[in-house]
Amino acid sequence: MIDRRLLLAAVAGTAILAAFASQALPLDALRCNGTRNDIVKADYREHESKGDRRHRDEDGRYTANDRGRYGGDDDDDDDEDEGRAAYGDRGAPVQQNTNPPGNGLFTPGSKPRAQTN
Amino acid sequence: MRIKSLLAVLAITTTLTVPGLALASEVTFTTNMRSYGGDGAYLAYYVTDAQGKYVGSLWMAGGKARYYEHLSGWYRATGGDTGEINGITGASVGSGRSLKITLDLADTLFDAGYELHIDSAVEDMRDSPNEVVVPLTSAGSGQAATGSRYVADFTYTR
Repeated sequence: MIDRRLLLAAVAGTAILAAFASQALPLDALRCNGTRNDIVKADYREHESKGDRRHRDEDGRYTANDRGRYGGDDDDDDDEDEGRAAYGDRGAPVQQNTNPPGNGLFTPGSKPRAQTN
Repeated sequence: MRIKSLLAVLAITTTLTVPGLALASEVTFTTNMRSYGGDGAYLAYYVTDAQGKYVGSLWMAGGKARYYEHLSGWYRATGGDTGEINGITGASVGSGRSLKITLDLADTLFDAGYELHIDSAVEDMRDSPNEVVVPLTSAGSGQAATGSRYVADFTYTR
């Protein structure tokens, strides 16, 4: 009988916590519009200036980031780096990826590792 | 009775695990780049079978999909499908640097007519499909292969 009560209490507690967790929002979303407009994030300005820089080279002509030549996107938000550095040599010391694709070449569950020197 | 059940479970799990261990081995790819004087190189590592048909990708050095069309051998084989390189993508490799990749690969890849291809591309420089093509064999392990443009040499060891 006690076990059942404990179980019920655990289920109820978990349900309440899950309900609260599903309502969780980033702090930005809680700010009212007036406040949000006053705040300019540092990284946003930085992104703008990088965006200006990345389309020019020393001669003033477009570089590899030119959409016409390479058909790329303007938005680098999901990219690993910016502008010419995409081809650049910013090798991370050790990169550990998640799971490789299931193409039959890899051992299932293995984690590829790469190191640039 | 309980011990018997445990032993049976142990036997089954061992039977299922051991062949998996025996059929896979850790393989290391070492790629040394020439000092070609340009930006970092994108490198695509992929495998073809004995008929030259694309089998799968092993690694992509370089994270921006818009440059993948310059890795023309890989791009032609995959149509630029980034799903082929999910979880096996790293940074591009700079001039004069080296990249060491460690992968757990199926043993069936070796001595069965498969070939490893490396395509390379550098911004504002010539693309180099099939920069390196080496047969995957036990005898080839540790033997350096010379690249045609940006790769100084490539070695795999298992």
